[in-house]
Amino acid sequence: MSSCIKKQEEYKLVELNKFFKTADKSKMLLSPGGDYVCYISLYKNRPNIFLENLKTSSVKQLTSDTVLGINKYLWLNDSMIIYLHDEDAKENYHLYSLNIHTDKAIDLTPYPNVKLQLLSINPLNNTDVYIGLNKRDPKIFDLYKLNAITAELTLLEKNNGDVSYWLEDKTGNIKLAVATDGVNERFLFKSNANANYNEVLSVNFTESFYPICFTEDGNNVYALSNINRDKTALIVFDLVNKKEKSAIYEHKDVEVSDVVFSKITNKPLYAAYHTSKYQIQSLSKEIDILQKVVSDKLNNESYRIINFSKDEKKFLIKSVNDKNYGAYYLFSVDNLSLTLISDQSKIIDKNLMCDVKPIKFLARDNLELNGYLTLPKIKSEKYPLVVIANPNPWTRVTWEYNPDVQFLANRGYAVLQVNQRGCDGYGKAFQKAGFKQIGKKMQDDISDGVYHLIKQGFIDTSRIAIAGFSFGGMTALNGLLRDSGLYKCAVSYSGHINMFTYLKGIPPYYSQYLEMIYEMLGNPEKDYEQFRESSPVFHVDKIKVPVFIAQGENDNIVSAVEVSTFVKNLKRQNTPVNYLLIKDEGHSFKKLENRFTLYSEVESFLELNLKRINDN
Amino acid sequence: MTTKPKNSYRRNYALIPIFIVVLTITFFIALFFGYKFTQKVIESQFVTDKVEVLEEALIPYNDFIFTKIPQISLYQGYLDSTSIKSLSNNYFRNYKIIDNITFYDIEVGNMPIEDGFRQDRFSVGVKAVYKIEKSNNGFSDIKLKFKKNEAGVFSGKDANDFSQSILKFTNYVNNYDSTKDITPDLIFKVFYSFNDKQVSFINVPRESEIKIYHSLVVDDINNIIGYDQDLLTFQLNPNELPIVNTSPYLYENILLRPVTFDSLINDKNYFTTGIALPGAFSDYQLYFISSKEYVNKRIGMLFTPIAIGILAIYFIMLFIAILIYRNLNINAKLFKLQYDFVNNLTHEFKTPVSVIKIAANNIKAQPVLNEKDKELYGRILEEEADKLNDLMNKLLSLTQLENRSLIIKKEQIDLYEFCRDIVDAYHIKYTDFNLEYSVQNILYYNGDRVLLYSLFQNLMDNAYKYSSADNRKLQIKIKRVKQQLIFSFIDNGIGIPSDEIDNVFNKFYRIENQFNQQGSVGIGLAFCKEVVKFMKGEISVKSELGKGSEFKIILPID
Repeated sequence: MSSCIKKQEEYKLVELNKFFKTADKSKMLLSPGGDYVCYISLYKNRPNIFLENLKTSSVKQLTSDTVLGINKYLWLNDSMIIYLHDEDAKENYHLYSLNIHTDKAIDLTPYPNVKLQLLSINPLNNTDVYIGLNKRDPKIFDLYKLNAITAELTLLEKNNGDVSYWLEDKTGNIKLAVATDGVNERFLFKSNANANYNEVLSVNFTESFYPICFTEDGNNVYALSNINRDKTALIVFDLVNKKEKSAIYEHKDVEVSDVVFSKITNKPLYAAYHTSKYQIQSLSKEIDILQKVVSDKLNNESYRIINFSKDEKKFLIKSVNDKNYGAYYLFSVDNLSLTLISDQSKIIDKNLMCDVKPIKFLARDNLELNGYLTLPKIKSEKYPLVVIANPNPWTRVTWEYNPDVQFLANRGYAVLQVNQRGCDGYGKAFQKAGFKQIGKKMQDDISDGVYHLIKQGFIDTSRIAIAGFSFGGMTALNGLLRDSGLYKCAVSYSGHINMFTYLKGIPPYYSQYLEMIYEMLGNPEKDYEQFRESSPVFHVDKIKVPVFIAQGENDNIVSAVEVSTFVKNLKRQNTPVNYLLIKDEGHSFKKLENRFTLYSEVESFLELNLKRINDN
Repeated sequence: MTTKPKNSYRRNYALIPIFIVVLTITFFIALFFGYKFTQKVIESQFVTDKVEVLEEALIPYNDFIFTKIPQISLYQGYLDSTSIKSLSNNYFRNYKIIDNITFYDIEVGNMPIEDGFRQDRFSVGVKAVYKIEKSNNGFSDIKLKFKKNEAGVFSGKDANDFSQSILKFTNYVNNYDSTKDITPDLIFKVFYSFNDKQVSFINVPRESEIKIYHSLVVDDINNIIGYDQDLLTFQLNPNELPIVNTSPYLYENILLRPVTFDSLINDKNYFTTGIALPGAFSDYQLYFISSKEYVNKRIGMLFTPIAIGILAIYFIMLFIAILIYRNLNINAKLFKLQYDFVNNLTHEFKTPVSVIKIAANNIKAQPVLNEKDKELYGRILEEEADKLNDLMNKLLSLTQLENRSLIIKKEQIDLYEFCRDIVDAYHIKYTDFNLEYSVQNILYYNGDRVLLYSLFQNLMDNAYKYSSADNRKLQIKIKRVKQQLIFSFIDNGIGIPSDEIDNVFNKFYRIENQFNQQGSVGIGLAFCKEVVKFMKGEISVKSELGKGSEFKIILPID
């Protein structure tokens, strides 16, 4: 009897809006002194910066922008933050400095129609900011030094047009410039401020080299590189001899995604990578200690290091899990304590959420693939399944709280996510395997995931749906075409329906990467047939099962006109279509009420078409 | 009896012919207007039905323009010489109206161009021009006409067609208003161009591209931006429009003619009408022509059923008129019969009454009534009283019979004895009456003696009455056939004319002849008929004029 009651409590349906509430506090950063944190929270429904004194727990609102809000900020020094503010809603950001004690804000770049790149903070004085501005020539960003107190602007490097970013050494001297022609990246090095740039390395777009930090002597650079290796690793590159010196850390299965350096020693503190979960590889004594304490205190829960104080004694840590937004903690190296700062997890009852479990399987051509499977808490012999396709075909899914997944699992569906070939994180060969495979092998990888689950016997083969946002929407619709009969219905939220349009959607300032894009997607003129093949818009006649399509009227990535015609054609041939066209929304729905509408309609659509067995 | 009484039955037979005349006039008026109406309908149909023909003819054209052409936009300007060929075959192969396709691979942006169109920093350049011709295998024949920096010259008709479409497009980009949605109407106005027998279409870019194009015109943008666009020009052949005569009964000929064509308009022997074609065929019209005879035939065809309907109504009305006339006639006859009856009856009563009166007077006038006179007058009075009594009984019985208020008193009748008695009685009454009788196969009949007697009496009286004085003869035969008892009364009388034989059993009917002068009410046979009917039998008569009649009564035997 008691177990019965317990059961019911565990399987309780959670209200829709609980899943999709954003975290109260996001983008928290620890001050250099370690006594304050800033974070972004909503003020009149717009993101703004708030300050919290960690000792007194008193909170102060620093900005109160009600137009677009503020999303990006950095600590400059212990009493000052800098933030980017979109002045005209055209992404012409101005950089502001703000004194946290006096609340005085200064517009540091009051230049109209100028775009800004925030590069770094001078490590020597903590008042100078390195920025790129296209002030001189709209298509060229020059490197400037900007004083955050006086707003004094000094031109440091004139860009002759092809430099995309620079890197300074520990003394703040610019020593490395990265130039690009869209296909190749050239790395230019000068040994001192007065020397001339020398090309030390040229990299084709199929490889990547990302310099992060100069070594102590300033003649070598730590970089994340996959040159001559399959998976990105942390290496040291010798700028004088123009060759890789040594590999500091590499992982056999996945790419190193991030590396963080000590500002004191200029040595790497840790490297980060994603296997099935986010992992930290300690590369220093401090992190060794931190890992031991934090792992213990968080019961082996996964976590990220957000940032740390200037003396590198205090670390801001955020726990990561599959059931909620986690919590912020402060770790102190001195007394080995872990203090909770803010718990983001209160919105949702963790016990009602489901485990997101990593799975591995082989594709039909024996390529090893990874994915995640989430089974509902309501136990069943055969589960209905919803496949959630990746919104971006080139980006992998990571293990974290995903409201879509938890929502569907709570409603009784098993949820499958697949990192199909072409995804980042698994190495060059894996990514390359996805080139020109949209709608083909990339599509097959997803259905192979479904077949893998079916083989294990716990999936009801007559109740499988495929859903996705943006590119995932196209994957969902293509699933109906390529694997006809496998899926009972499909959900496309702002889904692409036309590869030609998808290609057109790549913003024009990316057009220099066109060759790369052609390599990955195909050339719309030469690979015309393949484009047609993998575009649902050309195969309306083959789509017979129920389809749910959600579309924002102002979407400038997917053409709403094209989608409307597509829907009309589906309706004309009596394919059941639920078409949700929302006014004043773009590619992804911003307004909470619209998101709720979307998800509740998806809920009833799936309920209708997968006929979920309701155990309650 | 020469002057009719005022309150006699008023018959106005003039009403019937008047009715028929009015009906006939109405009939002709209805026919006339029916015809006029049909004519009007056909003539207006001639003008209106052409829309149907037009719609039918434009089905492939509209399908091509409104569903197939927009599909070009789906390729977002990425078409080239290979893909255009396969696209043409996929989408346009089945359209006979397409003669050939010219494909302009164009680029839109702010790049410098040699051939094309430039306004401020907005350029539309031509990369290549291909002509795709139709052959037996669809659009298989593709020819390069011009390629930037490589082949051909961009000029002539191609350049003209290009300019026309691009000018419209550029104008739109120039005046682009982001608050206005790209509606189908706008697409039709901007991205389609119609010319004589040709339609051009530029693929509709996404709104984001149009914004960028617009910014190229109004803003100073340094980056060189270039986008692919496609322009297709379709050469169309109006003669391939499927002109189907959906109203063959109206249109003798449907022709495709220039919009200005109108040769037969003044010829009164022809009906003509025209309807202009839209879009690329706006220089053409569908011209409908039918000779007057042809149209008249159609009017005739349509009018026939109407006329038949009117005729049917006419005949129904006529029939009703006849029925009314017949009814009037019968009523009139009936009235005459009743009138005669009253006359006769009066006469019938009058005779015995006057005889009685004379006898009474004579008795009064004679002071002493001798034995002889006493007997004479006594007999006269008794006879006349009997006559009156008999008359009244008959009338009473008839009324009773008709009202079915008589009760049959059944008893066993010895038919032979019955006949003998009645014949004996008649021999005494009419000494010149030659009577014979015979009874076969039956002895007794179970029935009402009084009724049977009255039947005999009436028929025997009649036989006597309607026979010449020298030939008063009646043969009575009674026989049994199965369950029926048949009485035959065969006389040698004057007979009944064949045209009157049906009426003899009617009440108050009397055959007017010399034998019937002294008055008879004409009630006898009607009475017999009622009696027989009452006894569930039948009575019939066969007669030959001048030779005699045979009355036959058939009665059922219980």
